[in-house]
Amino acid sequence: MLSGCSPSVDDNVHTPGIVYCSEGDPTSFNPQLTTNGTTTDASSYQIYNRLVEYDPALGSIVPALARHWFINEDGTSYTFYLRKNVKFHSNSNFTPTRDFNADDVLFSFNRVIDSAHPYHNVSGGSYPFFQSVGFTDIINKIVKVNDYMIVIHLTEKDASFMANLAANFAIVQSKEYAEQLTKQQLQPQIDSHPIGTGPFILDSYFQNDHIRYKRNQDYWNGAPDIEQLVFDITPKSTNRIAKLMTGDCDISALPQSSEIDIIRQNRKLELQIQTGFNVAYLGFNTERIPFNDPKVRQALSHAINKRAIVEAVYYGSATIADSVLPSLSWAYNDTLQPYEYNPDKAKALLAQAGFKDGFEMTLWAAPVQRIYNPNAIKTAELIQGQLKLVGVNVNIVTYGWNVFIDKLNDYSYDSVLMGWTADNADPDNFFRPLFSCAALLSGGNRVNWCNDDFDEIINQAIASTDQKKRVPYYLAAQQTLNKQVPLIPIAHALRFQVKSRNISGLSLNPYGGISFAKAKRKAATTSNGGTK
Amino acid sequence: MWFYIARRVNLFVFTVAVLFLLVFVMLNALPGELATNLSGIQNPTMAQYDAIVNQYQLDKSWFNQYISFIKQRIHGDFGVSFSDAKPIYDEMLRLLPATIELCIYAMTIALLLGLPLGIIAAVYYKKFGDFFLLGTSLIGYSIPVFWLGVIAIMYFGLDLQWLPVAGKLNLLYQVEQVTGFTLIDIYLSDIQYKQLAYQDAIAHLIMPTLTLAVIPAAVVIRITRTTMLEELNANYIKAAQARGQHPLSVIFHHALPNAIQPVLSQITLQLSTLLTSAMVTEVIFSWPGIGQWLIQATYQQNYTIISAGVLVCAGFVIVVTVISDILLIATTPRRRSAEYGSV
Repeated sequence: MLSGCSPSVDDNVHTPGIVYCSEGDPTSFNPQLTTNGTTTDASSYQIYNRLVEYDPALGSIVPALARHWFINEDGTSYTFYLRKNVKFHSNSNFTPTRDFNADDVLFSFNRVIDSAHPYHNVSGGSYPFFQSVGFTDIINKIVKVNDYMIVIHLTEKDASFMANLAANFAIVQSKEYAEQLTKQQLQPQIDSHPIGTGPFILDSYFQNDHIRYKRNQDYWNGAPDIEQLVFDITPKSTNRIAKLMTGDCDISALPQSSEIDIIRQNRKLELQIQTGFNVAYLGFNTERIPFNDPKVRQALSHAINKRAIVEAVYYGSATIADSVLPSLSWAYNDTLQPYEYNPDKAKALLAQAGFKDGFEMTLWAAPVQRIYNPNAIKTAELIQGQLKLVGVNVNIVTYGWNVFIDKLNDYSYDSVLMGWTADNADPDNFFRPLFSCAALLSGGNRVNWCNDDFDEIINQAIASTDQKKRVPYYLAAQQTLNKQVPLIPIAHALRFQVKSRNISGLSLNPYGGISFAKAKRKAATTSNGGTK
Repeated sequence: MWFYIARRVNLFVFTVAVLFLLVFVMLNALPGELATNLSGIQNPTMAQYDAIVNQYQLDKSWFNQYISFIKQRIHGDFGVSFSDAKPIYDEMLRLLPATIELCIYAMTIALLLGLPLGIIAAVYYKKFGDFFLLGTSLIGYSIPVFWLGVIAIMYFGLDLQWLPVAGKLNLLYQVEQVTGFTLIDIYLSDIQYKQLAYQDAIAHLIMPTLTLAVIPAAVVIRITRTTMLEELNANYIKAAQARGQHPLSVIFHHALPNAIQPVLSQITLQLSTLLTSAMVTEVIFSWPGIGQWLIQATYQQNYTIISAGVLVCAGFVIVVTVISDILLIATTPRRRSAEYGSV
């Protein structure tokens, strides 16, 4: 736990700040180590920066720590010119003596890709996002040309490389801090007591309670308007709404669909809606009997009534998913033959597969709200009821989120309710992180499914930067998934965010990750100690 | 008198032993490894497992296991939480003050309201004031806490938006936890806008405290009324009245001191009720105390926390009951007769 801070020196009546009601505890303060949205929300855009950023408004990659860049003709070497005069944070233990430079970029990426790097195994040595997109294989080497210029050499062309650099996870840490921690023998603190270049400095964190950030006065892109930022960890959605209405919170994550009407009626609150690049799915452990048989998986696809789930769990604030890819994506395959809801057909298929009398299975669901699924337990119960009709008895297994994620890595489940929120606009983000053999190790591949032919298809899909050439591969990939059914896509949820009307400068990012760098509180709120 | 104290202590030791036995049997009966249920360590390594076996003497008879279980718990080792592997003892120390704070304020309000109203009811025996107060207190006693809390949140929090509905303090006030009592912590902190922080903390306190105070206040009213009536009908009161003393003096100098003692001893019996309602209140108002923590643990089947909660809460009630008994015996010699000594 962090402690202490410098007493703030303002003569205002109260500290101007913003309280964000978040849905859970982050697992660490380093997004490199996770694909968990709660963790990236708490760190990616608050504490850190990336080389480049994805601008959802422009739909393109924009400069961040790299001022500009240059890609060679065959797309295998990327030259980045780095920004000067970027300062790292300081905390009670560390004060930077130099500005951000190429060494920090090399440190941050080598930590991920080089298993011999001294910091690689600090905090577990697992970098799920990077492993799933094959960073280790795709990056041949990273060369420092001078303090403000680096070149990344790729082993082969990768159309998703820039998008991956702009993803929430590809953050830059301080090498100087790491060296100091090594001397002090406090290596794990690099991820628990983070130092970054971002708009906010972590001040303190109390598990299950709150996270406090102070603004970074020296932020290279202009210091934030708000002096402090607090994440009020409030797992229950109704409590978040209540806190919003009474003014204890200014912004809230993930309102439940059933609460949308109440929010719309409240004049103080504003609802932001965004089509989500996400998918909720029922994944099978395809290495386990009977789920190793595609016929069983197809049978269960016929047994699940997605429409009922979308209506009862999402209250209609989601679209039924036929493919893992949302229909908005340019690579969406609209020729797929969806599995219609038909319990009789499911029974017949089960009988063909040799399970006339059905079987028992476990279904793991986390009692946590996620962007892609507001209520996994309720979804699980619906599925339990639906599968009972075809003779399959479902036992629902549930743990708190951190324990849940931890236990998933043992693959000791029959099936699991999970989901995925895209990190960037590239369709690749829905395939390699979820289905590649490489993602088996990183934990993204929850269906325990490794298919060489499929891997070949999705690898070819990224070998070209020409969108037209990539489309056929993605169509084929979706066709394979539809036939093999390693998972049943259930729904693509809309993204909601609620905020108080006197907060401005917050946009809703379709790819997840909230940033408070430009957030502002309107002036008319100095009364009543910030409670209103 | 020492004899009676010894009797009480004896009773105390046995009750606690039975309590430990119940919890121990519960941990044995729960699904999962006993070693995990006792220590809270999930999937222990071989070395850890050996340490647990050694610690709880799991290779010996069940009686040895029981004794070493008591030893561990009494020395403050409650194991670690199932979900985040944090030592439970530290968590309890961190959360307990918030619960105690809430209970103290609620009890204070209950006494400040209940005693005078009880006296008024007794003085106006069988008149309108008496009926009114009796009726009101019956309603107050009968209303379920969870319902009252939710209605208060809906009306004062969400509709009128007068009061905050969750937590102890707006998080923008950076007050570090020193004692765990919000008001004291604000006093000890070095923030410049203390005045506003106090206002905010009190605004956060009003609803949970009042919700929690309703039942004890109703109980205090009724007990005070009964004991006051007993005293007011006693002969010494009639004598005082006959001597022509002022009615107020009769009530406050003669009747009240005698009437208040049974009230105080009855209140300690209300403690377990208070603890239960405090847990419910904490959940409703997201008050970061021990009750909320325990109820969350129940949802997560976090056996170590549940068993620690049962031990500490039940132990707390037993200790307070015994202490109040002893104090009562010390101050009221009449109670030392044999019929009072046995329970």
